Amino acid sequence: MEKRRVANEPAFLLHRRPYTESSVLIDLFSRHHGRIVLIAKGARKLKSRWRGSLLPFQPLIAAWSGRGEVKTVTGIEGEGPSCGLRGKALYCGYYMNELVLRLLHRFDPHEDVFDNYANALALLSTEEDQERVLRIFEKQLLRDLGYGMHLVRDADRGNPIDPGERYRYRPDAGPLPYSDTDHHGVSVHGATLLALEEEVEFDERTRRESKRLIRSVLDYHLGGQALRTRIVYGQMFPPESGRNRLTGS
Amino acid sequence: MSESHSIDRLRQALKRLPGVGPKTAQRMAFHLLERDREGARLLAEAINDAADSVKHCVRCNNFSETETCAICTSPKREAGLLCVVETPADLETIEQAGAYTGLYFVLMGYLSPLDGIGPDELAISRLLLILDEYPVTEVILATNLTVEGQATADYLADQFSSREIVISRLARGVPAGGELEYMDSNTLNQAFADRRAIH
Repeated sequence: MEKRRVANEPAFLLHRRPYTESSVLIDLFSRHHGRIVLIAKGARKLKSRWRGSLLPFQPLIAAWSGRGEVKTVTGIEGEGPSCGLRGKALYCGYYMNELVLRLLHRFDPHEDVFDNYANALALLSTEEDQERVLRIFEKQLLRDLGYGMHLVRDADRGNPIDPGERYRYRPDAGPLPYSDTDHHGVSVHGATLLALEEEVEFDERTRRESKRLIRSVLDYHLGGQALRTRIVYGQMFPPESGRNRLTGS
Repeated sequence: MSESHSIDRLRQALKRLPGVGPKTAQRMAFHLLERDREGARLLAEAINDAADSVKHCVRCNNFSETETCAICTSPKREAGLLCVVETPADLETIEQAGAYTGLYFVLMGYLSPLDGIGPDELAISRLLLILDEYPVTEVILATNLTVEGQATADYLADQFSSREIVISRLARGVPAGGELEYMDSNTLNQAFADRRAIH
């Protein structure tokens, strides 16, 4: 079998872990080859030229070779400055990484997801409404992977969504007209579904409802396995009580 | 499949070591049994002994056989300086370099959301108790200069912000013997950002 070489590939690093004495195993999200696992040999050594480039949230140009499941890095460098995520934005970035790691199969290219990911990262460092950036990325991700949400017509008769009406959104079906007797799915207003579709500014209710809505859809596709970054985010930024919980006192 | 239960158990146990896969574990197991029974017994004894007797130092959280470790009890160390590191290996490296004379605190990890490691999984609440209890005047955040290490430092700095102590971070930039031509752009940019006047 021919040894496959790839060069000059735009990519982001999703995750890294130490491997053997001085190497690093990395999960890379590349534009044309999708998610791949590579070994960066000797990358933890002091003299490695790659050391400063193996960082998440930074546009990279990567090259690799190999025919197995795990490729070998032959070159990797930063392209342009890092997105510089700090504070909450950083943990939003990790959350996006976990979604990509969990929902994309290896070697399954998704250029659209890649471009949306790059765009969302850039927005996270500048835009104040980080939740909206995440919701739109999640919506696009689900759509690009073929799990698109139904946001303009109800799943019952295909009637247009009415912004003033309430619906019950079922992850397996879509929005159904609200009824008091049916407790399946998440209760949302039509306005929330349309705001997600049109990607307009979010008001407080849209923010709250869209979070619960997309969470239920994601959980459905993740097969009920909890997202680690979501748990850690909860520890770092507890909803109300300020810092008491964090200090453990 | 027809192999003995003991060999299989040994192989499974060796596989728990970081960086050891099934092949390596098998090689290790066969080496110990074929060529070095004595070494195998020594290894078993040493592991048993360490697993029973090594605890965490109540002050710096590093591994220690005594309640308080040798560094923490040494009168020669500056008690006002506290250097926070990620791992015992980091502490060892700083000790070998020899220039630091203060005390330490070992977090035993770093914030890593993708691995499910948040503040609750690190010894952060203990670190805060140490700051309450001892006369620390400066905390040096010596976590790694990775994104995760920086996030850990940011989080700690935020936790300490209400206290009257100096919080510092290790300097970063061009390493000793470094040639600019071969420097990656992140390091070089940081070296410019953190440059200092020489007079």
